[in-house]
Amino acid sequence: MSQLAVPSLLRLTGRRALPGPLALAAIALVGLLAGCAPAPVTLSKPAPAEGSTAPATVPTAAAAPSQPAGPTRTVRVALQGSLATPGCSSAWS
Amino acid sequence: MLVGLELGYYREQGIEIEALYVRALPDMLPMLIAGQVEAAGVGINAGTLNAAGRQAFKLVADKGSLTPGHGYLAWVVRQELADSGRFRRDTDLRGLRFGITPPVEATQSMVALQRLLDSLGLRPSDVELQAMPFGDMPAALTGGAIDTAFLSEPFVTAGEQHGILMRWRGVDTIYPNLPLGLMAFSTRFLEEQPDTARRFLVAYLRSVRRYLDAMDYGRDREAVVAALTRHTEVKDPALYERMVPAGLNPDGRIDLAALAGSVEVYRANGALAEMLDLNAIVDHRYVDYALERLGPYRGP
Repeated sequence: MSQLAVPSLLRLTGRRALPGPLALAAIALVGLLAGCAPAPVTLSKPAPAEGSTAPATVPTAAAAPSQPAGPTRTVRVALQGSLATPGCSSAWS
Repeated sequence: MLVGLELGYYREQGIEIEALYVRALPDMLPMLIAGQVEAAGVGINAGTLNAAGRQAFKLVADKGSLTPGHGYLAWVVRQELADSGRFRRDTDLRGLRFGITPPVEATQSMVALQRLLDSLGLRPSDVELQAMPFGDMPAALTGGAIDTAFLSEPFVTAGEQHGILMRWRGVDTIYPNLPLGLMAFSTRFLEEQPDTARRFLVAYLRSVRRYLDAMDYGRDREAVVAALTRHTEVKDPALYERMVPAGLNPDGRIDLAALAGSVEVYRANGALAEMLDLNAIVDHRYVDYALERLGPYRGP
């Protein structure tokens, strides 16, 4: 980890070397950041449609079944990793 | 989202979730537009709003806001500046190198920074902006390449623990309720599986509420932290005890007034060419359906 981290840190900080305690702290942080890196993207075949191509409508709650009927649907959800933009942190919830 | 995944809320609604983690927003939007994913938790910037304006997808619920007490985006200062007395008050920002995520002028961080500068009587030219992702900011603060930044958790807490930075203010105190993330549904998903979309929102809102119950009130906190450590890359449970939790609207609705404020800033910065009709890109019908089923949030 440190072998990879230090050149990157030096490039970022514009220094030829970091003081000992700072270097250790920075390397520990880079380890944390690496741990936050998201997994590679994988894609699967498209989920089956529900058989309707009509424009989206939202029926009232009374018209919806209280328990889902029919086959289980797969929903693919893209979430951002922690290294991107502010919204990504909410991926934790 | 992830809490409900672990606790089976989506399965109860007849939905299996396939979570796909992508590195950054530019990788995510094409997937959503092409219908390669049905849903996405998107960060907000001018690009997101511009794509939504082309009707490629709908913004359906809040997925991260700086609600009071939830400053998970924080204004941080290099520890050395605090220790030396160079930084003691907000106005000491003048002349500092400020780290901010790209694309600088088109981000919610910039929206918040401009509000901060306005409140202090400063101009953007009074600080030296340095564009970099959150992941690079701790190292840049360590080496002095930047003096201060808007930084997100968990980097804020980790940086404090290592003596690199000081959390000066949560950005929730600078721009309360600023939305940072949104749940988006692809147009194709809404056209082909509207019932699934409604049921997804029911499970999602239950998940949000369970998260807030745990993080804000301590209810079943261990179970929620276990879910988060299992499904995210933040694996240390102790870190959740110290981090400022994400803010979320337990009733799911997107703060349209705050979003309109962002559109205004993006327009002024030249990041958005056209005025957007938020009523055309935000669709609250799915949240409304979930609220009919769950009722308004009242806390644990």
